Amino acid sequence: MKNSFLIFELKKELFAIDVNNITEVIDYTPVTSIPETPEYIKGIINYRGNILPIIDLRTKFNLEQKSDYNSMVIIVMSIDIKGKTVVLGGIADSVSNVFEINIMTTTKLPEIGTKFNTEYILGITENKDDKIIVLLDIEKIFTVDEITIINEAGT
Amino acid sequence: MEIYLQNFIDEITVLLSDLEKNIFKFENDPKNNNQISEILRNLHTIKGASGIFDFKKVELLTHNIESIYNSLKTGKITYSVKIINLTFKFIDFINISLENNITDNELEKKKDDILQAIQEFVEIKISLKTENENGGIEQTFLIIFKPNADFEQRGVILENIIKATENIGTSSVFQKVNSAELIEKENKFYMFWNILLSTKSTEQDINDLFLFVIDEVEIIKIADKNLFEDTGFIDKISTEIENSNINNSSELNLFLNENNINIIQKKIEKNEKSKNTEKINTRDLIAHKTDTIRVSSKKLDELMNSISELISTKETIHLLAKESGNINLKDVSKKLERLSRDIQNNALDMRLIPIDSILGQFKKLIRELSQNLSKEIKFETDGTETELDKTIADGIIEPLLHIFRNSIDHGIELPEERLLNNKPKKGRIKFYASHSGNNVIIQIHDDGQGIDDDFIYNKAVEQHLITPNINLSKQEKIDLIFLPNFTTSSEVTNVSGRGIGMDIVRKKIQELNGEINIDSEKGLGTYVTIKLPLTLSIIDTLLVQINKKNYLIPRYIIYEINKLTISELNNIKNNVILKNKELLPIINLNKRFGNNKYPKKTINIITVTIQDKNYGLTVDKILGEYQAVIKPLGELFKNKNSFSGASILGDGSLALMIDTQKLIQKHNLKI
Repeated sequence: MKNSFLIFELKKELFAIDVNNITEVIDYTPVTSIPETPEYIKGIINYRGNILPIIDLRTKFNLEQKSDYNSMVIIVMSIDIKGKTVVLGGIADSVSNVFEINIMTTTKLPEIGTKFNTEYILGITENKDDKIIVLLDIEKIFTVDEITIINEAGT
Repeated sequence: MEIYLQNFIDEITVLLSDLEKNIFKFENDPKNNNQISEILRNLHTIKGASGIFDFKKVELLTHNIESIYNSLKTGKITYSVKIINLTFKFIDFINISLENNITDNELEKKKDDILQAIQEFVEIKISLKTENENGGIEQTFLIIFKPNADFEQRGVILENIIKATENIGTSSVFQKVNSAELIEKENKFYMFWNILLSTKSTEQDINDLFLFVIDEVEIIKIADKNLFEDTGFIDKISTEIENSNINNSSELNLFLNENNINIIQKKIEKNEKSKNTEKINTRDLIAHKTDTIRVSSKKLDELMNSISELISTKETIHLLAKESGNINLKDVSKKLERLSRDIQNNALDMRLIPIDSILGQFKKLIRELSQNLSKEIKFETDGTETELDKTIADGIIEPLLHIFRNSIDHGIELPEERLLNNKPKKGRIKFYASHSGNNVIIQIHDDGQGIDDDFIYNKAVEQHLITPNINLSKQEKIDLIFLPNFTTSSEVTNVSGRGIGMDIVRKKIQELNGEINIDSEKGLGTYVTIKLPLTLSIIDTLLVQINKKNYLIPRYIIYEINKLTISELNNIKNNVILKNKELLPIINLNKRFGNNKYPKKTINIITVTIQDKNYGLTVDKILGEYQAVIKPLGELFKNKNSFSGASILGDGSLALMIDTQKLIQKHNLKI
């Protein structure tokens, strides 16, 4: 059982999301911010005549925010939150390629001793250049408000 | 087929309700023969439709009921209220048989009951045969039935028609393949049928059998006798038909002439009488179709969506016209504005239903509950013709049920108690609805014991829902019942004190963009006022700007707009200013939404009225009126902020719709 994953980059780290959750990837467009919302919610955009909420994935994962968003991309995802389908866009630095992997064969992380928060991670794999790719459990990520994926203090 | 069956059911439902109305009229004026004719027309159409759709039991019963009314009309029997009862029984039967949750056996039994009632009632024996026999003379017809290609989709069941012809006499049916020309040019079905029929029934009866395909059939009388007795002729004509030599009336003529068969032959010119009845029947059907059209609410939603897009597009054109400065374009834009408003109003109109249509369940609730609680209650209504959007009407049912339950359980006292307090023994609950501008106002008034504001206050303190505060006004104390988890009952009754509380009632009403207010006089009664918008999706708003970002404020809550200098704003103490001799709480939106950035000289104060109180909202700029199509922000934002949605502006950018209720709630929590 192989699944396809899309690789994206946040602050030089590689992450991947199951393509079944991804509708498309669009260029960054200016976002209308909404007052009185958590910081990671960047705002909303006009997505083909509908309102699309935009999440800043860097902020969501407690990574340092980028000052210039213009070169970034928006990954449009459709995920299940408490039985309801929610469409949202996640801002990432860039996306690269799609690869196939059997999740069962990925490395499971030990609970301690890594800089990654294992709760939201399906597994870990490496690309050709031996760079680590973190496979994210995207639906779990959006069921909680604040999460830390990478423990920056430890690095 | 399903869909045509649904059409049939819809059609029958309309016919039945018409029949019902006519029967009520007839009951009031039994001597009116016109009324009987109306009823007969209804029955006849029901019979025809049931025949085509194979509702045999309905067809049979309708036929018998029809006979009763025929006898009434001709004076064979006289009017009796039994006829009316029987007819209502019959209507019930059809309604039941249209539902799927009844077994054939039960249905059969009900049918037999009614049939028996009919038999018992009418002295003369009624049957299809005796009624329709044409003085016992047999006639022979050739029926050429060339259905259009779509006949099956129209729900016509060929088998039933052929069987029906077999039932009224001797017949022989020939199934033929149509000519390619007819199939292509006239869109005919690839087959057609020639039916030789000898019957005692009249031409009119045969016409009736083909009522729903009347334009696709030719009925030609060949002889005033049963030609099936003349085997030589039958053999000859059968061979000719088999060889496809008789496909229309002229070919039949030719055949009859060539063979020198000396028989009377005439094509049935649908005689004047039959023409008339037929006309009435079709007119009847057409009338139903124009009176009301049944449209699924899904289709209306789709229409509303398209109109929302239209309005967004209109706003874009309006903006472009304004920017271009082109006068012609501006004219067109104005015209478009007017047209789209017309369309929008019409579409909204279609979604409106009278509030009367949801009142039935409240009447039932009041009757049952008051009996259970041994209370005597008179329910009065007014303005029940007031119309409101179907979605809103559906959404308001649950909160209203709760309000009624409260009135009956907590409001109206027991009869003895009422007498002791010099009140009429019978309590009264009054429901009235009215239009007010862009709102529907619903008021529910009971003359019960009212709400004891001190009691509410003490309960709230007791339940640790508020910190003791002696400065609360009476209204503020009453409003405590809207607090989550608030309950007055020390014990839970069957009626209230369980399930949803007033906080949920308020939430449900707010979800509909509505407001609820409660006013009460201890010992005298309670007034509940609910204010609802006419529609949910398109709202007239004021487009404003705060720190270069666009926001929308619903226009109907705006009371007035004033200017204030920044220095005045900075000098405000306790967040209130004195306006028209009253204290106006100021909600500083620049602080809340605009990162504390202010324009250089002056700021606008928009005074809005929410829950009967005025508040002043600060905004930088007022950009103008805007007809906004509100789109939801989605799950992610639910209850997280002071916005109810966003609208896409003419230039594609977004403006947030301020949810003033939430805004005020947050504001009040802060101070």
